[in-house]
Amino acid sequence: MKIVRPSIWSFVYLAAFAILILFMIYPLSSVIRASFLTADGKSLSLDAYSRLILSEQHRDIILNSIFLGLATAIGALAIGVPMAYVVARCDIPGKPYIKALGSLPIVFPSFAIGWAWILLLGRNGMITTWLNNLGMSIPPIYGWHGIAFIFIFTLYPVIFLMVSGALNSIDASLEEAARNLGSSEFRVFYTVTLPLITPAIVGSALLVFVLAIENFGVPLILGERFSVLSVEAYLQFMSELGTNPAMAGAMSMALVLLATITLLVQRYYVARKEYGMSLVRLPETRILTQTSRFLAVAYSSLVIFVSLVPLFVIGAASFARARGPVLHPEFSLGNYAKALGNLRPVLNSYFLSTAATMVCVLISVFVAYVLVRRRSFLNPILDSLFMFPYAIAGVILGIGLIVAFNRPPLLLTGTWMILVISYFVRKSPATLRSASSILYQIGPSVEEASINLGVSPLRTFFKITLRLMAPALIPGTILTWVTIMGELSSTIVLYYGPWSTMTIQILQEILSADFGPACALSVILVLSVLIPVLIVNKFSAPRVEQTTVSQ
Amino acid sequence: MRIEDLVKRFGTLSAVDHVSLDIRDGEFFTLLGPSGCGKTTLLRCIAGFWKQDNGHIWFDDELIDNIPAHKRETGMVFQNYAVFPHLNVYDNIAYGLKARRLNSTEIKERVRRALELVRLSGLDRRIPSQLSGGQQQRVALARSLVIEPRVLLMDEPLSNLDAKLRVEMRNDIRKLQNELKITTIYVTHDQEEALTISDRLAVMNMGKVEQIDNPIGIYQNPRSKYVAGFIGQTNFVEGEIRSFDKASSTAIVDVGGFEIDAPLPEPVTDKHVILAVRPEKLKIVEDFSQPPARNELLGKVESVSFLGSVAEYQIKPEGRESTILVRVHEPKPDQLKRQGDRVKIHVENEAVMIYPEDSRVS
Repeated sequence: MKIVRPSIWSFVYLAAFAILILFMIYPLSSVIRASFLTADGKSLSLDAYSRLILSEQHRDIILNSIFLGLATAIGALAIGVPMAYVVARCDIPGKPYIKALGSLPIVFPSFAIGWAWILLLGRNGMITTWLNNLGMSIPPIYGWHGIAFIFIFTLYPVIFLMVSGALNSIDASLEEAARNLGSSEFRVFYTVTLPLITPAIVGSALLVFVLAIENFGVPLILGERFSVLSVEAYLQFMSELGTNPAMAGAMSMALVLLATITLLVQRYYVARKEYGMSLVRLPETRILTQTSRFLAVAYSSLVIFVSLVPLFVIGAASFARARGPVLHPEFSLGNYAKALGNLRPVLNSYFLSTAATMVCVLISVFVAYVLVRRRSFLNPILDSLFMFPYAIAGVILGIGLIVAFNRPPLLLTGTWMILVISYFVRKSPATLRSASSILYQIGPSVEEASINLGVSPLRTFFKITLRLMAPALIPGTILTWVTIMGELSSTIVLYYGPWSTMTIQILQEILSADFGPACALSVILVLSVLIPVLIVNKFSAPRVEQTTVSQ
Repeated sequence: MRIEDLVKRFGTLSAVDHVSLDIRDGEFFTLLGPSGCGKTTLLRCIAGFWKQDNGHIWFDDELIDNIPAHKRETGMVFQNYAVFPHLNVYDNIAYGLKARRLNSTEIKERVRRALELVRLSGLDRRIPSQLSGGQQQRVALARSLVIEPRVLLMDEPLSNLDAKLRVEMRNDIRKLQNELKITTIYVTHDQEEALTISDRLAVMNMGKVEQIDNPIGIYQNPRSKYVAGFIGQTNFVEGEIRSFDKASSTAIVDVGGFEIDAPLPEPVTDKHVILAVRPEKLKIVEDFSQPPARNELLGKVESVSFLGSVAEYQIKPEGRESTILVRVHEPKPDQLKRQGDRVKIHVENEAVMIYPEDSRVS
């Protein structure tokens, strides 16, 4: 009796699976395949894996990655959790500013931040030189502690945002009930508040771990003798001394496996521990004593200062007169003239970002719709597939895409399209998440009302659903655009001469010790990222809240 | 319209379980039941949002099973209003008319009349966030009425409004429906709402229809223990049938040593039965000189609630654990009982209903 008609939505499923299989599964399987071949690619072998595990030098690389991830997660927790508590629960002045500035670092390209710290604490760094002149010395920024330091101050916002969100979703009555039942303030925190925010704490820490082990730019410029999987996989693949795709593949697999396991643990843990809570009344803010209020503000300001000081350093340095790696304290626009002498990388970045963002949002909106509104046995599979890019470091996706598409029929290597594809795969999980949550908030009944009034489901999607999603999509869209602007790890594998981007240009100038233009271009990149984010913060946030409340 | 043997399953659970309904033209028909009884599922099958697994739906003589939701010409009013937040009142109401490609003069005229009907004239340029909940519900109502649907479907439309507004809207909806004579299916879990607003109602439980009748019939002759318990307040007591008189269709039932006679249309196989009686059908007898006669019980007052025009007593009959509720209208001050008083209760035998002990369905 049932009439099954192929609808537009079946096409969405088909297209979504096709895209992911072609541009994610297939490239990744190319990497896996390479890892099971001999170095010359002619016969099957487990050689790469046995060397990866047995040789101490290679094993250290794996341990280094894990160690760096753990150090970052612990450090970011130590900074992010207290700040979240202070902002969510205490009565301190300037909260909106702390909130906004405390979430900024995450949008900046981390390698540019790392680079700014080199300007300060590197071998010829400003502070290093100054201290040397005073006859003192500090340990150099290079090595694991420098990388971890930069990771901590660029990734703590993940913890800060997730934990303060969790703190704000605990209904006031829960803690009041605990007080009323005779618990001291400390016991309330320990027995009620802390268990309720533990999922957010653990979840965000695991996410930070993954982001840290997948990062490429910072260990590349700061690692020196401390090597990690992401950088080493890239070097094995691109090495001028002869590439070793098998070893690159094996290392990629180690990194993907590490990230996948962590993310699965995170997903399983958070799903098991997430408590459904209804929020009726926001928790009350604590009134602090004069002293602790001062300490709380001083603490938050210090964290923000340390995380944002690189921006000022780059800004100031960009106007200095530069000769190679040496910056003279004289005002000059020479760096900008030199940096903008070739406009192509700047335009490339803008073009690629915009194109990839459009693709990302377009596909995410359709996929989110079928995931949220349609019942299908395919949904869990599609959902997991779309989350998988989180587990693939940019470098590895880049290597996979190159290996997969460097010959006909689909010869994409060296085109701008392969960059857009890579950006799309990398950013689609976040865009999809934001589109899905918007759809959940809108709820199905408005669409049903439209269908009931005689408008077909497809036209309803365009007339009502998309129209209602649009304002809420803007912040997420801009965030996607901004993070693509700062993308380095897959770009460095995939770009080809004329399609060099700002990030590539900056990196090359840093590596060739041409610090002046690197600073100028970094300023342009940071402003390109900062201005849209500030605009979104200013205008869009309250609008999103309004649409949420009125639905 | 007609619903024939409709089944809707979610997994293994039958949300709607073999339901058949015949709804007359211009009738105000209510589906009443607790949450999860399948009433909203049934409504959504009629609207076409969900496809039934079995059975048919007819509008007049047209089978609509395979007509997609947007071509069914039903007007649905949602629990959360579902007013389009990005459109003003005028455009909300005109939405369905524009989908039907009517010309703009006709759209204008029909929207104007709809606005008048729901008493929102002059608010046509407002956007929904500037309207109160009641006003938004009126917009939703006008939007559904203006397309002149074949049937109006209302899914708990009043449950998000405060008590006073709820009564006002309820009366307005009924008045409108009387004027327009539009066939209406109304879903609610509120029995008072269902009794006041409906021509007829179906009481639903676990996907099945327990009883279909007009409000008086439902209240006075509940066909099952479930309906008796769901509509109004009812005392249930267990008893055992002593004898059955076929000529008068009455049974004599033993309730913990007291004898009650009650109407019973047919003999039953199981002697263990449940007696149901409304609290206002029990009387407190002042005269203690006689031992309890047939249809009388002795008991002790457990608690008293004085509610102004009525007094309610929880009375524990002798030899029983559970209490029964007795409601006395306009109690006289000198007759008001106190906790611990011994009382004699008289049961109006006409008002006693007998149900089999274990079954819910009649």
